[in-house]
Amino acid sequence: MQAVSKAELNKMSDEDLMEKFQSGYEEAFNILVNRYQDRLHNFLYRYTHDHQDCEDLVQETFFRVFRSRHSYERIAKFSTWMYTIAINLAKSLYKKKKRMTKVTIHKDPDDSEDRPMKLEDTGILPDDSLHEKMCMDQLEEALEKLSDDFREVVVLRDIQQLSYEEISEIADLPMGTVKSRINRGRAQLQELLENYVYPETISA
Amino acid sequence: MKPNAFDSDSILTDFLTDYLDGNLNRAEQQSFEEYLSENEDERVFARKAMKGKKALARFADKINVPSVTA
Repeated sequence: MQAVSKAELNKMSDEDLMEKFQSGYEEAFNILVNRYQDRLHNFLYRYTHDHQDCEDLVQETFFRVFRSRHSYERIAKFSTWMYTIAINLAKSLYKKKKRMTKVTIHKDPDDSEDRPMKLEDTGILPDDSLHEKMCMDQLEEALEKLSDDFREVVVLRDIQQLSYEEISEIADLPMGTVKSRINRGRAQLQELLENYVYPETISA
Repeated sequence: MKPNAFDSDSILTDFLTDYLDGNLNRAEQQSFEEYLSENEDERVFARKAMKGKKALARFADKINVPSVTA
């Protein structure tokens, strides 16, 4: 096997790296992890809304990529294959969490010492940054309110910037449905954002 | 949101998708905009989809999704 330097590996496409990894270059796998871990975390956060869950899912996704490396075939883009693994894991986690019983610890009204903690707000921002942050918070909130069907495809297209073909494969949907859901998801998101600004105009 | 022609017509959906992605040629864009000007529900929907897409692009910039060399 001809030796390949790290610099050469860094210049390779994802699919070339997978081939190298399949032939024994573990460094190729490390490069793929570096390329995708933040991107995958951001993507999975739209599903879980929990950074710890995301970290676990990212780790599990890469573990499965590692373990199943020989089942990857070059006919699929590496990112498509990896996102499919990640989505399946996120969906399994969601189902598992839905089955779990929720336990809430309520404030005890009879205990005078049991009151909400006051924390110093260290997140005070200048006006512009604050406005920007509020807009982003509203966007994040609106995105969470979209139905799973719409959110999945909108995030894959407009945040992860995948092609329609890749989204069609990942979501296992016909291309027409993907495009229709993306457009509808975007329009619904905009409607939700308008409702934040003009709540009196909320339409049924 | 009101139902509209995009719900049932895949050709129109393709047109809208290409319109929002900037993939229509001049003549196609002109005829699609003419169609929108004559159909209010579809025009309102297309405008919302366009604004939603722009908002998501800003959001993607802010959360700084790293670019990937394929």
